[in-house]
Amino acid sequence: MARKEVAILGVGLHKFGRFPEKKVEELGREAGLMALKDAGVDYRDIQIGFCAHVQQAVGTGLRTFGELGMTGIPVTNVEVACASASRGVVLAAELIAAGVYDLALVIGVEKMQRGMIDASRGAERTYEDLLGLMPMPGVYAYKAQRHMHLYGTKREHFAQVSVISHNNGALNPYAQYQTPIALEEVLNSRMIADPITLYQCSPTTDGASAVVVCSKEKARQYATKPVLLVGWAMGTPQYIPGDPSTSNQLLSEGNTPELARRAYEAAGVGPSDIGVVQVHDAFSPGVIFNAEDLGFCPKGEGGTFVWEGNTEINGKIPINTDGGLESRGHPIGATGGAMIAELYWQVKGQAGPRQVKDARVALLQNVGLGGENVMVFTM
Amino acid sequence: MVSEAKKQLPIRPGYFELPSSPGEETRLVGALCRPCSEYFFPARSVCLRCGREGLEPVALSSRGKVWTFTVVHMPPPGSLVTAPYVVAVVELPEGPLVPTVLTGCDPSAVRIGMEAEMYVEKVGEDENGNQLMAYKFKAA
Repeated sequence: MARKEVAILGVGLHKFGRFPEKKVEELGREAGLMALKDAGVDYRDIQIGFCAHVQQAVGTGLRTFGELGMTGIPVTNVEVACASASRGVVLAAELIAAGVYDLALVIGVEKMQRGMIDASRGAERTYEDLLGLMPMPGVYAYKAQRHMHLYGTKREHFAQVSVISHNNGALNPYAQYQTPIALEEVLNSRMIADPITLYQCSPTTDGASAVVVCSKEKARQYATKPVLLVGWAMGTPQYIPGDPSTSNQLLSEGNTPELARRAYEAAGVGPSDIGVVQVHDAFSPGVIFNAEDLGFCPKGEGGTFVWEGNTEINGKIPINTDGGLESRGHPIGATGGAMIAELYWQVKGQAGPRQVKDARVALLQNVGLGGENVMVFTM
Repeated sequence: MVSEAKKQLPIRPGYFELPSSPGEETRLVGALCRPCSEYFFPARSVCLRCGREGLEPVALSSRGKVWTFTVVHMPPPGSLVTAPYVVAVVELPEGPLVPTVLTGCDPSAVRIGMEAEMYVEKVGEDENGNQLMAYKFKAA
C-alpha cells in the first residue's frame, strides 16, 4: 500500500515562562485546545495521542489528555529529552503515513525547577557525574572549543547567536524573554563552561505546545490548503569506525548531516530550497554547528555565516525566527512542538513581525540526549 | 576491635586497575575487539564495529593528547569538584577519547594538542575510611 501524505492541521502554545500556580496538565490543556480550535477539529475525533515530557510525573499523558476528554484513545508518553515533542509528531506521522490512523494530537508539556538540570532522576551518580565531566553545556562547550581551534571561530560569533535570538524573541508574544540583549552583555554574563556564558544558555521554563497531525486526505475536510509534513528522519548517534567521537555521549547527541540528507531526500528538496529554519540551540553554538550540518554553509564557516547576518529574519537563511530555545525558552518536552508551531505559522504567512519573505519550504532540526529529528514542511 | 587496614578503591569500578603489587602502575582499562583491532573506553561488552561480544579487557596507554576541553565554572549537580576546573577529552594512541579532569596547567593555558599524563588521586572516603580513587590527567 502506498504511504499516505501527512498534514499539520493546527498548532497551539501555552506561553513559555514561569507558572507556579498552574498544574502541568493545565498548560497542556490550553495548548491542546488552541491547536484543536486552529485545526477546526473536535477532540472526540482524535484517534491517538502522544504526550511529550521529560521530568513530569508518571501519568502526565493521561492527566493532560484527560483535560480534553476521556474518549478511551491510546495516549503514550514520549521522552527523547529535548527532542520529545518533535518525536511525538514523527511517530504520529509514521502511523498516519502507514494508514493506521488519520488524526492524531501531540501535546508537549514541562514544568521545571530553576537552576541546573539534574538528569539522573535519583539514579546513582556515575563516574562522569562525580568528576564533573559533563557540565550543563557539555557537548556544546567541548565542540565549541574544537570549532575555535580548527576553524578560528570566535567567542563573538557564538555570542552573536544569542543577540539575534533575543532580537527575534522580542517579536514573539509566547516567548519567555522578549527583550533584546547587546553583544557585550552576552559576552560579559557569567561564564558557565568556556566559551559558553549564561546568556548563551537556554533557560529552564514552564510551557506547553500542541500539534494536530492528520492524513492529507482527511485534512481536506478541514482546510483547503493544509501545511504538509513532506519529509522526516529520526535517529540516534551513529558509530563511525575510526571516529571515536561518534560513540561518546560527551561529544555527540545525534547524526545531523545524515538525518538531514534523509529528510531532504524524502521531501525532494535540498538546502537551497529551504526558506526558514528551526534548529536546536540549547546553547548558542548549536546554531553555528547546525547551519553547517544542515548544508547552509561550508563546514567551519558557521561562525562568519552567523556574524554576517545570514541567519537573521531578513537574511539568506532565517534561523529561529521566534527566539529559539534561548529566548523563547526551553520547557524540555514542549520545545519540539513550539518549533513546529513557528514553522507552521511561517509557511502559512501568519508569523506577523517575524514573517520571512520566502517561507515556502521550512526545516526543523531538534535534538536531545537520546535522539534527533529532522523534518521538512511545505504547503 | 581490630580495625581493618584502609584500602584504596576506585570510586566507581571498571575504569582503571589499581596496582596489585608495589612497582606496578595504575592503568586505564579499555576493551579490545581483536579481530577489528578496535579499542573502546570505557570498556564495553559488544564491539560497535562488528557486533561481537566478549571483548578483551586491556590496559590502555597513560599518555595522550588533549583533543578538546572546557573550563567549567558551574559544576553539575552531584559532582565532587570545585569550580573553576578544567575538563578535557584526551586522545590515546590506541584511539579512544578519554574524558577527564585536567590538572597541572592554568586554565587559560590549556591548548588542544598538548600532552597529558594519567594519574590517580583520592577524591573521597567511604564509610569505612577507605580512600576512593579517581583517574585524572596532568598536563605534561
